[in-house]
Amino acid sequence: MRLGLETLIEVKNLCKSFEGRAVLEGINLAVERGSVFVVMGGSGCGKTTLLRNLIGVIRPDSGQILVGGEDMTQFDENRMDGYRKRFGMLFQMGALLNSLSVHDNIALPLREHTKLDEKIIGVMVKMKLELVGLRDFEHLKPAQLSGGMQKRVALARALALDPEIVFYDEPTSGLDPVVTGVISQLILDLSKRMGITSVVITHDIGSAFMIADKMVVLFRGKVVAEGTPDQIRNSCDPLVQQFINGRPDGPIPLRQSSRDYLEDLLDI
Amino acid sequence: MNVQIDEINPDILVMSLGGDLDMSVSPEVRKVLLPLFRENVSHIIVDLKDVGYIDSSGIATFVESLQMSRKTGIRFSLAGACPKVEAIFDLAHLKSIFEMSPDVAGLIEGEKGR
Repeated sequence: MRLGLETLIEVKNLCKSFEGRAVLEGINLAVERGSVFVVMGGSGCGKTTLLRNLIGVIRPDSGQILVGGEDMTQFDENRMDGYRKRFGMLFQMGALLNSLSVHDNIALPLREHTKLDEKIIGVMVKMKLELVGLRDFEHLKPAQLSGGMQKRVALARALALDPEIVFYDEPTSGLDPVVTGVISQLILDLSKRMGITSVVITHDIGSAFMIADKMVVLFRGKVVAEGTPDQIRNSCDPLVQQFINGRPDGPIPLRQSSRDYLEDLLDI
Repeated sequence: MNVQIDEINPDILVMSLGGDLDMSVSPEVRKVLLPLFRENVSHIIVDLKDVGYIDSSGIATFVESLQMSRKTGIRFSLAGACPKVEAIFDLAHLKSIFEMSPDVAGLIEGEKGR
């Protein structure tokens, strides 16, 4: 194991509701510096809401998110700006700007946030593209690339400012097995060799077990299991087993409706 | 970041850096480094032994120096990089394009035999 000893991100008792519906109900987790931390769970389990809290897009109703010991949920806009420069974000759909070339998409955060010369930015864009294996594609527009290539360009852009933390939202969704392997290996390399702390939100079980130092399983806004990939794999919890084996029914119900069907029909 | 230039002899310049070489300081380093590529200089050495971390803007600054080196024929070397810094060059697939030496003394000693 290569786990660091220092906790970089600590989520304490995080709660968030939307219109009275609790989406996160007291989440606790700790991410060690330089590690790959995977948050797994099915659709609607709260993992995207957790991610949006972690990147400061929404604020929790209660609880804390300590980053390097400081509660980022209390940051004012100025401090939040500083925090945003410390992390990169790989969005599920890539979120590239279609009107800009690959080069300009990656250069954008460097032009916005640094005083680097264009020549240096030019070299850095090539370096980031080399990291994701797409160096000869910088003059193309995102629409001219495949979905997997767009994801890699988006990763290059997430890495533009040499972030300390990278948040990945479903990094392998919609990708073929080879590209999934490439992205997973990149996440591992960036973490192992450059010490980047990775928080990966995914329901791709194969990728999760390949890259995680530690993982949590979310269900209905709560952490129902946490541990190393081996601990999760060997968990006796039927809910965890259902999730990792993709069984259609079990503790995670096939039917999500809580009201009785007949009652619902006759009660109109 | 500490930046110091030593003239070992009129031909060889050593730029010693101390601290972290990141985006907040690399423009400053570039401003000092580029003008060293001038007439009558045959070898520029950057001493990295007191650098604990280098980011991609730092590496890009050295890549630009390498471009200058090719243009001017002035030799450009890096010395004393710690394993962590070397690993960052390696991950950027750029370790092999630079002349990297364990220390400045070795490079200067080598110059005597040239």
